[in-house]
Amino acid sequence: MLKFQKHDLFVLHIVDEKEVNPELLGDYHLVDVETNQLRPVTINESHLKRYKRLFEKYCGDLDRYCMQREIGFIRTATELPFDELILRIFRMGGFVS
Amino acid sequence: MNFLSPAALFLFGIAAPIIALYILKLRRRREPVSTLMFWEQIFREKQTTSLFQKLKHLLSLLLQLLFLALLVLAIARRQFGFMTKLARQIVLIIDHSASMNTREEALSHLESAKQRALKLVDNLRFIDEMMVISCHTQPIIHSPFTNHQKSLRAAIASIQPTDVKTDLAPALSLAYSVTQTNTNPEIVVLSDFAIGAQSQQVAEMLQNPPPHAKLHLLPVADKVSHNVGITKFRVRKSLVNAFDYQTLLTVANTSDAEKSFNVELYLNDGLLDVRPYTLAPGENRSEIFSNFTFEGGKLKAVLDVDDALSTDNVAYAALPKRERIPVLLVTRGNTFLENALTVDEKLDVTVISPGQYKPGEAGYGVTIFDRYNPPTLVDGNYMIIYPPKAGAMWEIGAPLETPIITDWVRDHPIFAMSNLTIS
Repeated sequence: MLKFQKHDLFVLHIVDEKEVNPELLGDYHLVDVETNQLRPVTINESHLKRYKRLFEKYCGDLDRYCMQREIGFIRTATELPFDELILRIFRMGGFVS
Repeated sequence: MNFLSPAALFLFGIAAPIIALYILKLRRRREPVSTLMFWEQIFREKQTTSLFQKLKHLLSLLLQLLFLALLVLAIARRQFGFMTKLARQIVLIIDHSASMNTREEALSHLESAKQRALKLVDNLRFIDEMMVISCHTQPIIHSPFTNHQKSLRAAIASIQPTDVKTDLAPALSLAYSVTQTNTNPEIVVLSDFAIGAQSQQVAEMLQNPPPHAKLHLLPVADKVSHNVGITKFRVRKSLVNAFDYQTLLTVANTSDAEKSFNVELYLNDGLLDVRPYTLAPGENRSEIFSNFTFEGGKLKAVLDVDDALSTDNVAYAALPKRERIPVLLVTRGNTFLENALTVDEKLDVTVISPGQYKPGEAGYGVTIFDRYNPPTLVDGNYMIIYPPKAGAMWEIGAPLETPIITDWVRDHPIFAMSNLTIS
């Protein structure tokens, strides 16, 4: 809808290393940091492989969606400082040299 | 419920820390995540198995407790009723007498018996127990009742060959007595059963075992072995000469073929006699050797034959030393008497004249006075021949022309060679 209203969109996907490669094995209460929702789980190797497949598919879907609609897209890690990230985006866009 | 090691039941206490660890394990850690989206998707797919997951947790605890219970019961050695009824108590008797040294091909009978005994140990069930006894004339317990196969193998290996004769009776008596209180006893005898005809008692014991025990006789060899052996070799006083010794030698051919060989007799390792023997199958021959030297010594009989058992081809006997009888002859000269005495090899004769005689001269078994009256007589053995009237210690009457003899002490040494019967 934003695109339809002629907005110039840019998607910034920030991921955490723990999100990409969770090192969880055993019994956990997973807590959603946004909703504080609890989910008791027992994670094994099979679950981790399944998680990674789902996460990669999600990232792939996001890439394709932005590309099809000519929306700028960049994925970055939380380890990268925000000002350096902005500077890198500006350089990619040719706003600064 | 019976346990051989009930103290081990205290190990059930290990269940407490296992349960505690299980409970602690279920206390889940909190882990913040950016989104539950993926995890919900994963576990929604697995929702059907979530019940199984819970059960899996409980099952893991139950399996751990079951494993502990089995371990503790094993250590406590639970005895079930069927085990008591079916368990065998085996008394293994291994003959290690001299005849078991007989060799057939590469192995002796004893080695064959030990090999068979080891196979019996291998075939023991875990509920069975075995006792190992060796025997020749006396039984030796090498291992009490146990099902520890390593101990039983060591006990069998410790049985050594001997040169003692066979008598199974004491070992059988021991086995019969120790199995009286057992529920399912078996007695196994490993022997060549060379018990001889003299052991009627053993034959009866083997034929009539007690009703409470099963008796298994396992012969380790054929009864007929290719053997020739010395069955008797002993020294005894001569029946015809009290001062001489005789040696009785008996040789038996127990094989089923005629055997020809030499019998060698050694005295103090010097060859004394060699005699050729030819014995038919099953034949015994006894022979007497005599006229040995006075010095005595070690007698050895050797059969010069190659047969199954070498032990019984050599026998030893001690020949006692014979002492000559010291005899003092006091005479003015009597060639006939001197020759009669010196020709006897048993006598060590010293001849002196009456002038040289000193009363009470020690060291002589007998003193003979020939036509001489000693001045005095001290304690000792004397023979006085034809004493003169002058200086006689006794009143010597006139000679009897026709003496009438009604009786005499026949066993007195003086009359040993005399016969006073009037014919």
